[in-house]
Order: sequence, then C-alpha cells, then structure tokens
Amino acid sequence: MNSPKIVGVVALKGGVGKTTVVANLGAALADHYNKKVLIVDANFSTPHLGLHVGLVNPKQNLHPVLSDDYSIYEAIYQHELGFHIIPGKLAPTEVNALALKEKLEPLREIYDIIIVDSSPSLNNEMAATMDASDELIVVSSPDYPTLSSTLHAVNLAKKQNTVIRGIVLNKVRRKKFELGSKDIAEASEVKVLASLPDSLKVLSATAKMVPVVIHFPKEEISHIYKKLAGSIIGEKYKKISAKKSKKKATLLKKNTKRKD
Amino acid sequence: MAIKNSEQYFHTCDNTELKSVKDMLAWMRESNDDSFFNHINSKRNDFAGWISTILKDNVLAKKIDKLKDREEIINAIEERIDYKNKKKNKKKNIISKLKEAIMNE
Ligand SMILES: Nc1ncnc2c1ncn2[C@@H]1O[C@H](COP(=O)(O)OP(=O)(O)OP(=O)(O)O)[C@@H](O)[C@H]1O
Ligand SMILES: [Mg+2]
Repeated sequence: MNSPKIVGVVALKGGVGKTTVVANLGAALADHYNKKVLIVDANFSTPHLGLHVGLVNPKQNLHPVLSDDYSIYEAIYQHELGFHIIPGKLAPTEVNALALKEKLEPLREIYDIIIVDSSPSLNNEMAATMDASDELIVVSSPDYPTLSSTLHAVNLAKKQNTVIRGIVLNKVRRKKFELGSKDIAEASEVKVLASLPDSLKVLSATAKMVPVVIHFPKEEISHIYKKLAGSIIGEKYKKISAKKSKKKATLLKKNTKRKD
Repeated sequence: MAIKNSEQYFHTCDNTELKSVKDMLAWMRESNDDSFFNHINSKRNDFAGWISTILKDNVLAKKIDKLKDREEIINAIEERIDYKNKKKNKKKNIISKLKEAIMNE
C-alpha cells in the first residue's frame, strides 16, 4: 500500500478512542519517525484534540477558517512534541463542514502526513472527514454495539468510495467474552491493523494531556502505536533503547510542566 | 482446539496421544476398562488435571474431578462441547445478523 497523505480517523460511536488515536499517531510519527505531521480536529461539535496534547484554549482554530474568516495557515500551531496541530473551537459555532477538503488541499505539499480527527455523528461532520481523506482508519472496540457502528462506518465509506486502510481495535482486555480481531475482520471484511490494550496508562497520560506514546514510551501500548504509525508510512518500527527513551520522556514531562 | 505444543499432549497408558477435548472424548469411548480406570480411579483423576492446566477449562475439570462413572464422564464432556459450540454459533449468528442489517443498507 502507498502511504496516504490525508488519513481520517473515524468511528460512528463516541468515546471509542478516535482522538486518542490521532494524538498518539501524530506524536509517534513526529517524534519517532521524524515526519512532518499535521493533526486536525474535524470533530466540530465536540473538538477535544487540543485537550489531548496540552492545548487548552487555542486562540486560532479551524472553525473560522471554514467560514473564510482567516486562512488555514493562521490556525496551525507548532507543538513542542514536533507535530503541528489545527485545533477546533472549544465552544463551537455552526460551521461549513464540507469546506474541510478544499481547505486541507494546499497543506498536502507541506506535510508528509495529515491525520484528521472526526465526529462520531452521522452528519456533515463525518461526511467532511470522509470526503477530505485519502484513506480512513476506523476505530473500534471488541463488543457488539461498537462492531455494529464499525460495520456502519465501513458501509458508509464504501458508498462514498473512500479507501479504508483498516480497523484499529482499541480498549482490548483480552477477555474470552470479547470479540476477537478475527471476528471483527471477518464481519467487516476489513483488515485489523492493530489491537491496542485497554490501559490505565492511557487515562493517566490523557489526564496529563500528553499522548501515551510520549508519556509512557516503554508501555506495550506505546510500542503498538509506534508500530502502527510506521505501517501507515511504510516504515519498519525499531525500538529505541530504553535508556534513551526514558531520558526523552523525563525531558518532555519537564517541558510540559513548565508550560502549565 | 488442538494443542500445538507436543509436550502438552496427554499420553495415555495405552500409548495414545491426546491433543484436544475431542481426542479425549474419542479415547474415553474406545479405550478398555483397564486403561480408562488407570487414569480415573478413587486415587486419581489425570484428565481433570490436564483439562484444567493445559486445556484451561476449569468448569469441565471441576465437573470431571467429581465423577467416577465412565458414562457420566463421557456425558459431561459431550455436554460441555455442545455448550461451547452453541456459544460459538450464537456469536456467529449475531454477527451475521448485524452484517445483514447494516451492510446491505
Ligand atoms: N486504550 C485505551 N485504554 C484505556 N482508555 C482509553 C484507551 N483509548 C482511549 N481511552 C480513553 O477513552 C476515553 C475516550 O477517548 P477519546 O476521547 O479518544 O474517544 P473519541 O472516540 O475521540 O470520543 P468522541 O467520540 O467523544 O470524540 C478517554 O478518556 C481516553 O483516555
Ligand atoms: Mg474525539
């Protein structure tokens, strides 16, 4: 598979982990693979991507860009973790969601990869992400209600002729009663790219507003995230030495603290 | 499901290698009394241990551990296999119903 430029992260269900996946892929691609990465919050009604990476109340954001009040370049923040981010407006206003594709187009030249976070609702917001993306990653979890939403999202993407790169199975507890990645792949006819464990470390990192791949680089979930990130850009994941990564984590924790 | 690691096979006293519950059930149906009661008697129940530690089915292991009668043991295993198959089919059924309802929309 060629590496895509704009990847939409979608799910027709709230809380499955879309925003967490976007923040962690963004951080992993910038920090571990040194890519020029932009992450975009296209969940216009409940835009929380900024809150996952320490950006609490951004002055500039995507909302007025979509209504042509200012240019998209003005809404880009350079994050200290290496990626760039276009956050959403915390107290959202009505937007012209479908302008997203047109606004992102000129940024293709600047970035190696653009990852778009999306809304879980079946409306224009979701349609905008599907429309703007070269490929989609569908976030799911191993239970029937989420599988049902996943099938729905896959069906929708197929109807819109948007390529689905695969499913990321999140919050996996490896319990017998859970659906397995095989069940989900067979049902959806889409490949499962990664199974991310349900992990308290994610909640702890989210509370610190730092992606888990940075906050706890040695955790199993962080390795899985980095491997997944590598697979999207066609690069093999090589673990860096524990010593190096610990040093980096301490440094970053210090940096984020100083900013608070 | 059959065990892949040959060190975990159950070796019966009449030199049969058992790799799964199905193998075990077949052997229990076919073996002679001497062999059968060599493994299950008032002092020991070799199968209960194997089912618990290797096949990781504590429910079946506990049940078998209490039984001494050959027919009862075989019935218990058959019931367990039945139950597991039903569970598996239930999952398949739900998934195919979901698929039918959503993917054909
Ligand atoms: N692997 C995981 N283990 C444990 N908790 C997780 C995991 N992934 C995400 N979470 C937690 O689940 C919650 C919801 O995650 P997130 O906000 O990313 O979901 P979302 O799909 O973007 O939700 P929404 O649809 O509301 O935008 C967060 O508290 C996050 O920290
Ligand atoms: Mg979200």
